[in-house]
Order: sequence, then structure tokens, then C-alpha cells
Amino acid sequence: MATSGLTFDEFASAHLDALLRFATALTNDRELGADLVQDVLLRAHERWTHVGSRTDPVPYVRRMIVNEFVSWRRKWARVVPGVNLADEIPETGAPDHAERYADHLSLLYELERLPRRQRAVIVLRYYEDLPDNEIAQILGCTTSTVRGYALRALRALRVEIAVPGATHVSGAERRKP
Amino acid sequence: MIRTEEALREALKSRGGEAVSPADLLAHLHDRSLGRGRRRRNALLAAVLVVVLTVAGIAVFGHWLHDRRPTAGIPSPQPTPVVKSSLRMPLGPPFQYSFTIAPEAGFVVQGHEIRRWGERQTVSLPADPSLGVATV
Repeated sequence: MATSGLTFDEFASAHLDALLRFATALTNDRELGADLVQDVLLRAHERWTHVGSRTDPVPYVRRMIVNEFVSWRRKWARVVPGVNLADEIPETGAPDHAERYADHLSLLYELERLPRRQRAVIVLRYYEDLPDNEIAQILGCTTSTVRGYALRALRALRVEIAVPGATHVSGAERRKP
Repeated sequence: MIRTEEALREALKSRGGEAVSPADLLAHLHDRSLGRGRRRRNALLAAVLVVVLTVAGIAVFGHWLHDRRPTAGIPSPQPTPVVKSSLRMPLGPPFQYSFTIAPEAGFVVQGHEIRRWGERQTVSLPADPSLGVATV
């Protein structure tokens, strides 16, 4: 089996930034995201002979992050109260910049209120641009379950789905001619 | 308001961009890595200490309980107080006959006292043979 040949330090310096961004998008909180990555990297460091022996350790570590995020231990993590700004602003005609910003914040707020598995699906799909079958592998469920999670999450977020019921295609695949 | 998938993507990208810098995290990671090793060693030591203390406590308590038992391992020295005899003497003078009715004579530790036991008991047969019962 081909190995990455990376030491833990090399791996951390090359991929830590991307992992931190992913964890921050997942938790919707920069401190919680950093905390999550710290915990996962400490465990990855302890088992680096196993983790580093993979061809590409990044998906494995990303999976560790998602699993840690959806695990019961994180359910007691601190909760940051937020305000849905979009509800506070009266509906007018065309949205101006302030309104768009308020909607952006309220979208993040609503994202935070989603069940963890649904949030993980949304982040893996729209932030990491992963196809549904890879998301299913990460979460340890079927592709149809992933689609179900995504559909419920998008409905809750009031996001218009381009082609209803269609299988999600990753960003990389979309860019192909 | 209905949102687009593109807006969702942008929101996630912007949130991801707010992540802490890797340099900050690496410094924390190094500290925590050292601290974690120390904590694990301390936890292991504490667990071993608890197990040793528990075993020692149980042993001491068991020994104390054993010492408190009054006649542990010693046979009961209680002699039978009354002996019934079927011996009848219709004629002849009254007589006495003695025999041992307790186990072999000796000493026994009872509570915190040393007592004699198993003494020779004198059994007197009554002068009136119609009673036919010996008393100690």
C-alpha cells in the first residue's frame, strides 16, 4: 500500500489551515472549530503511524473531525446565543446591502440550529464540494440518507434547490466540460 | 426570503475564513500535547494508588473483623449440666461414682479471658433408688 510518507509536522503545516477553515464552517464558531481541530490532531498525533500510513491522510482526518463533531461528547460544548436578524428587519422591496448582510448572518444562525448530522452534510456538500457518496462514507450512512438530511436542512434554511430530487454533483464535477 | 445555494456556499466560505490562524493553534497544540502526557501519567498513578489503597483497606478491615470474633476456631467448652442415668440401685448403701462428662480438661480463651474447662464432675446417685436420676 502506498503511504503519504508525511511526518505529523509536515502534515500539520501543509493542511492545518484548510482543516481549521473546515472545522470553523462546521461548528460555526472559530473557537469551537479550533478546539475541535486541536482534539482531533492530538488523537491523530498519537496514532500517526496508522493515520500517516494512508495514501492521503486528509480525508481520514476530516472524517475524524466530522465524527468528533457529531459525537455525543460535543453536545455539551458551549452554545453561543444568537439573534435572527432577518426576523427583526421588516420586509421591503429590493434588498439593500445591510439587508443582505443581515440575511447572511441569519443564515449562519439558522445553520447553527440545524441538527449536527444535517449541518455536517451541508458543510461537506457546499463547503468541501464533496459528492453525496463520499459524504455517506464519512458519516457512515447511505447516500439516500445523505440526500434526506440535505433536503431537510435546505428546507429549514429556506434555500432554493436548483433541481429538486437530483443527486448532488460536486463542484469539481460541475466544472468538467 | 428564499435563498440560493450560492448564497449558502458564500456564507460557509466566509465563516470558514474566520478560522483562527494555524500558528496560534500549533503553539496551543504543542502545550496541550505536553500537558496531555503529564495528565495521562498522573491519572495512571492515581488509579494505581486507589487500587492499592482499596486492597490494603479491605485486608485491614478483614483482619480486624477476624480478631473481633470471640471464639474463632475454638470448640465450645459448655459441659452438659445434667446427666440422666438409667442406673438403678435397689439395694445396698448409697455410693458415689465420678466420671468426666466434658471433653478433656484444659484451658480455653473465651472473649478476652482464659478459663478452665472440661473439669471432672462429680455425679451423685441418690440414696433413694426410686428416683433413679443422677444430679451433678
